[in-house]
Amino acid sequence: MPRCRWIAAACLASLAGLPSPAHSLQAYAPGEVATAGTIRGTLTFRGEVPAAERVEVTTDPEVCGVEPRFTSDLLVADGNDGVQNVVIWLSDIQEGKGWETPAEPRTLNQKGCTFTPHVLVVPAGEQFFAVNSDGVLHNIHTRSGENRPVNKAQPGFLKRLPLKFRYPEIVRVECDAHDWMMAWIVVAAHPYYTITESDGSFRLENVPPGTYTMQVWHERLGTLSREVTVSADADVSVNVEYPAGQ
Amino acid sequence: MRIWHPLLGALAAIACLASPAETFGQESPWRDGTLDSSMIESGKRLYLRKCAFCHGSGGRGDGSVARYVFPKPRDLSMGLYKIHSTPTGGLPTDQDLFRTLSRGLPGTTMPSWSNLSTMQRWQLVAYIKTFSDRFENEMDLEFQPITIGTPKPPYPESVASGQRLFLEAQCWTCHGMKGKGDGPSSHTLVDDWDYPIIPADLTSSRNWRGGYRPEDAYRSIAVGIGGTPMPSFDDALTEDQLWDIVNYLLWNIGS
Repeated sequence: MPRCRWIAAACLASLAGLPSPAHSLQAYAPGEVATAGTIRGTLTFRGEVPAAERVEVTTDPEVCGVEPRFTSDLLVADGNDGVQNVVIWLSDIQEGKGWETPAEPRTLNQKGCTFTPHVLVVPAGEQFFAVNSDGVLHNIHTRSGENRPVNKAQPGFLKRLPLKFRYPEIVRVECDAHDWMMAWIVVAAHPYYTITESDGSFRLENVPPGTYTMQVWHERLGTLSREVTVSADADVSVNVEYPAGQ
Repeated sequence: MRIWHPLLGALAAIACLASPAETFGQESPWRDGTLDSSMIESGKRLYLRKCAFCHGSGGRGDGSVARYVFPKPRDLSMGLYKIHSTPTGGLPTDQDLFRTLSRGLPGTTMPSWSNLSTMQRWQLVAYIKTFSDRFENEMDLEFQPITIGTPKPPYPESVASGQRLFLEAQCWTCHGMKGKGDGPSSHTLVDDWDYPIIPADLTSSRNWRGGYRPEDAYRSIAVGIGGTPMPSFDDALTEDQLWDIVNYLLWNIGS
């Protein structure tokens, strides 16, 4: 996809709206959560959804496909206008659950010349892997604010490439060899982060009672925030709508 | 594949050694940490006279002639420099900056400033570092320069191995099968500021941004070219393999 400057500007503007990572880092202490509630809700978009962009495949057609691709950075569900791939987190939580240890290490897969998942949450300072399932050259080229940028080649024979980011922020990842490939790595200070499903729904579970600032970020639509109060053993519903025109 | 001729190898080796005597390894005048403000002030005066019309008075790459220049003059405010001997994403060392100023960037409009005195070049280094606070904030030991060992002799086996690796690691995706900078992805590339950029035609040593000594080529492949699509191959290739590719590319010059 031609990376027009306005997209970059929008992304940077979105990143600029993020809370200072230094604050998130110093605040959080994991521990036992005696009583807790759940925040659930749906992210919706009201407005005209821009048409997907047509991209010609010129590189590695035997793996990436020969047909033109139609890519979109705004995925809105047909039925309920739910927005997929929205990042939601509690920016001012100071104590709560620890990270669950996943059965397999967290990975950013490059398969069919597409990053999967499109948005990946990783704990700050923890190693994860870029996986090359394609057997052709990809590269992990990041743009970030707090973390050092990296641009690492991952030829077809290098199946797993270890990566680590130290500071919480949202890092943009691109592959220069295939210019439509893009993903986001959410470097998280604590486990209270989630990504919306294809219908825009989300759940943040095991949240200690209290009042929090819930941050909402989407690569195209930008950042919003809501105040949320969680009670013990209760669900609180928070539905957020992105205004049209953003 | 071309037939190896020992004479060509010898010529390539002589070409590599024939670069002008360099004093780039010298230490900066502020090695003991006493970077006095007069040094920066002198650097600023020089910068405004010599550099600002391309790089802009604030170092943002937006000088008065920037629009006529390709590739674009570098925005120096992010601490992202093409030539750095540190791993990918790392800051250049003082010596890296001094060397780039002294030698210029082949294949671009950045000239050699070796007509300035050594002290004047160090003054410029001192000043351009003030454009990015990364130089203040990232003074940790994590990002030391990589170790570049002794170049591997350019024997035919090494050159052949390098050619094989050039194909397997798909350097040709950008640089083209013959290294002429015309690979299938070459026309979709942009730099970190989203300006179009083209891969170097490696068949001409005049285009090798970081220099064409074997050590320079090794560094460019190992750590990449900062702020451009050229990635670091440090994780993907062994030291031996990197030297093989260097030998192949030097052999391939002029093809």
